[in-house]
Amino acid sequence: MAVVKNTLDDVTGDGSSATAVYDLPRRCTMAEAMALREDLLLQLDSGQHITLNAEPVQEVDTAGLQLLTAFARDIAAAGRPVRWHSAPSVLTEGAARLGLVAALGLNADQGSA
Amino acid sequence: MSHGMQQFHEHFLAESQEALSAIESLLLQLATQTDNAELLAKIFRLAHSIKGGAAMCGFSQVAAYTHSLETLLDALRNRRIELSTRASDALLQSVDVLREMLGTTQPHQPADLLRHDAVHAELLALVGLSGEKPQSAEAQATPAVVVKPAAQAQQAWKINFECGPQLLSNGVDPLQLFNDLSTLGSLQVQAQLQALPSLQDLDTQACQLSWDMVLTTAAPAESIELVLEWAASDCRYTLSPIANQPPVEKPSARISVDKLDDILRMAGELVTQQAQLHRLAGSLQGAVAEQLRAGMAQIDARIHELQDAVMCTRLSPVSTVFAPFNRLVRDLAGPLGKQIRVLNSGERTEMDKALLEKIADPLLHLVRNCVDHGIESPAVRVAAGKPAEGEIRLYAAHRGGSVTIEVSDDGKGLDTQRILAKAIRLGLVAANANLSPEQITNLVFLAGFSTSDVTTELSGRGVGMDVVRRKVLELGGTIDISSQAGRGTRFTMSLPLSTSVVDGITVSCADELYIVPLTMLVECVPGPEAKLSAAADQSPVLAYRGEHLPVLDLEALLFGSSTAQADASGLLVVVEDGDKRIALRVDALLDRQPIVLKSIHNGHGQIDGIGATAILAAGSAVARILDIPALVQQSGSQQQRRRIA
Repeated sequence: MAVVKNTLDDVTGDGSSATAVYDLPRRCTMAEAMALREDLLLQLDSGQHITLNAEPVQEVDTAGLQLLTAFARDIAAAGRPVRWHSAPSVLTEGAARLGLVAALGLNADQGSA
Repeated sequence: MSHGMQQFHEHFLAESQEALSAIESLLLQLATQTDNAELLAKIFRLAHSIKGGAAMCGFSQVAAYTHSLETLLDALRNRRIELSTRASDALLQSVDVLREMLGTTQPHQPADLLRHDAVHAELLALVGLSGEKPQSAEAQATPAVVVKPAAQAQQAWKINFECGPQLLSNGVDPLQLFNDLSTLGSLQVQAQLQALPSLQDLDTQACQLSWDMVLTTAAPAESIELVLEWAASDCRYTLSPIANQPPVEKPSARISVDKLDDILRMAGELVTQQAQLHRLAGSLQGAVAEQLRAGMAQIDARIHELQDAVMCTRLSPVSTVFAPFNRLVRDLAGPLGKQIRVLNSGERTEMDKALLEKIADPLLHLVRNCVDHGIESPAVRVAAGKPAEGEIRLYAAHRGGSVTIEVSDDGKGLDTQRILAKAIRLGLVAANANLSPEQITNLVFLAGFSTSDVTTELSGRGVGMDVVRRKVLELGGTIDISSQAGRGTRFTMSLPLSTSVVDGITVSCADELYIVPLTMLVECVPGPEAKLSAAADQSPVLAYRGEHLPVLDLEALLFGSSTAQADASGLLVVVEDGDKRIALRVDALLDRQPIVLKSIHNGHGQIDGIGATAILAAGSAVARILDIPALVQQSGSQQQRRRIA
């Protein structure tokens, strides 16, 4: 089960909220999508800026990427665009193949913390 | 055949071999996860792609055969039949047959037609079509699928793809589908998110995205539809040609290794010629000379960038050599009554393609040893409190400038007492030898050594481990072994990223040139400054940073006698292998430069301590690379012999 592993100082500079790091699971696929959705809803409702740590990700499929896209879009709409840490090639290549790189915000700060 | 079509064939053959490897790996997973519909769907898609590509290329036998394979997969998917061991075997044998069939599309590859027919008949029998006589090879010579020649001109196609609600749950993944499409040409994808609901309302089991794509390909519309057809019942798509679309450059290309080698060779020659220019420039003085050196430094940087870029194109993931072992172990373990699974990690680690090809044989031998000698039978394992199923782990990782590859098992481990007894019996060590457990385990690398009392199909013929070690050393690598009784054995290979360029120093000895790889060089100590003394056995030792290092006279070591003065002349080169250091006495240090291996062969035949041969620059000089691990080991053996004597 992926968990929020730590909380960083606010990176936005406005001091209004903290940034939490959420570890994505090894498999971001349809089989894990329901559990992942529940976790991401909690992140969405937390009011914090979220950095998705994609380092553990080893497998993705369309269902998983669709779920992450919905999360990235919703949290951006809440004024807290998602940030990525260590997005592996399996994720970036899958996103590129489905034309979701921009929607996921992977082109902005992929691999940065 | 037109050049364009030939390229298309080559592309198809390369892609198909990769697809077959993937199918094989998935089938092995399926054997332990028989109800995994996702795996089955992936296998079906891969087989479907091969069928489509084969039909497009005119390989009608392959297309017809794959069609039968699909029929069986379809029956499994729809649960008309169960995935029995027989079905699993037939599927794996089909992979072998398809590999052979694809091999026969290239010259000089005879096909076993009887076996092809037998496996084909088995596929049909499994789905209840045993009454159908499999087509003979001759009958199949008439194309079973009408093949239209591939259009040679690039054509852009607009594809709109909308998912149906059941697409994902039926095992069709657009990601895989688009990957399949991308094998036909250049694919640009734009996702449409308008229908994507909020995360709160998202049905995670349904795809609510749609896509607009542009596929630029030389393949005909039928080939594109063959891919899309897979999802046809669960999606809506439109396919229309784009008029007057300028050709889009492909984002990637398959390049033959020969061409890359040519570029690498030329880059390598630039390195050596640049080194010569540096020597010349070093003797010049004045402002112009300074400018010249500054310019050359910039050229240096560009040359190294070029080398790095070419080297990167030669890199391949280790998975290409790891992948076949799942199947191999399954096939080997069965007849031995053993249960073994293979666990891979770090298989995305990249290394030189040429090296990868060369380590395949040593790896094969190590894995066979694990199966044959390492892993115990299920009964023995259970009695020892272990799971009945044994594990063989393959691991790869980059460490510094090298690649580490490990093969380990959780079997019975090496029996050091038995190894020592055998070594004494063979006269490899003295009867009263006092060896550490580490030294004893390393005896298995000696030529002709085997502890197996029974010669088996797999190993135990008394050859192998020494060959493994020699091959690894020839590649500029090292191999270590560690073992714990009852816990297992681990072989660790450390290999260079590339065999093409070695950074080293050139030294002379008895009018010959030798290269000491920089990765193993510690320091050069001029003879007059060296603090030499004699050990208890009168052999020379060098006092070096609180240690006493054995001194080996390179000339004596390689040629049996030395003309060098024993003390205050020449140079002592301190080298290390792991935590072991020795000092090599040579005549002089000549240069430090990157050395390009233009030809790799062991020019010294049986002389230990000599690795590959390198030509330093075009026709300028030949030097031999010192095999430092072998020299360090030789030093240890000499000390051991002296102690024993």
